[in-house]
Amino acid sequence: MGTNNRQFPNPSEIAAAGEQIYRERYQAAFEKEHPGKYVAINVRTAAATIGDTPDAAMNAARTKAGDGMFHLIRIGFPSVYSSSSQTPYGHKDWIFG
Amino acid sequence: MGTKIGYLDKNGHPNVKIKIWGMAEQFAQEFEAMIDTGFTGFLSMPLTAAFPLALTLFGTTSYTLADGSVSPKLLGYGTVELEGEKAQGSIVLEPNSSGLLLGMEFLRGLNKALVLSPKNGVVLTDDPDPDPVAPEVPPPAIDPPNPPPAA
Repeated sequence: MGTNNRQFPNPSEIAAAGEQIYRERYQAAFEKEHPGKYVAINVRTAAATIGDTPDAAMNAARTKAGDGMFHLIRIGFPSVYSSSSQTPYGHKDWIFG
Repeated sequence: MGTKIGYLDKNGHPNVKIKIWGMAEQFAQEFEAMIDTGFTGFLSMPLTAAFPLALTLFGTTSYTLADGSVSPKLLGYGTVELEGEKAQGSIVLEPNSSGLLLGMEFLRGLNKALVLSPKNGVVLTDDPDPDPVAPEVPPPAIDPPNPPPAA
């Protein structure tokens, strides 16, 4: 893992790009056909790879495009992961960008 | 029955010692991690602690916090070893945290059941039913249906 900003774009920007691609190209169809599954969006190519688990979607997407930068989404859900614990650091800004 | 593998901290939270690495075991380091059954993922750890471990960087994902807000997070991939047993999974990288959280996906990956005992601490046992038929979880409704018109 590098620490250079050129190699390491702001995660918020990657996530926003992935969410936008998903909304515009895939959301309507995927929520009918694959609810509850996971989709890795390659923000460089806009390609989507679906899997039954987070790891399955991400590993398959990396196999297809090893140099891709991916944003992972759970179809039909507001997020992939959740926590019911209170953490004091959830809203702090990223140290990148 | 399993054996004691961890302890309850002063707040009563279960903690265990784990080893984490990414691309090769030569990068492994040992950490203490809290088992958080409220966390749906595999492992959450501080970003700065992840640098020396050579984790594979997957990209980003979204994470719903306890207050309901959704936050983007970096996502890596690596191996966690607990008491000689290994599991691989996606690792949420927290930019400003100091603690490590093991979640339900980790317990599922090792097929373990968690037993907490004030006397014996933290015990993990082999899950007697590791692969039950998962209930269908419908996605949350985004738009509630309109109420019926008043008669």
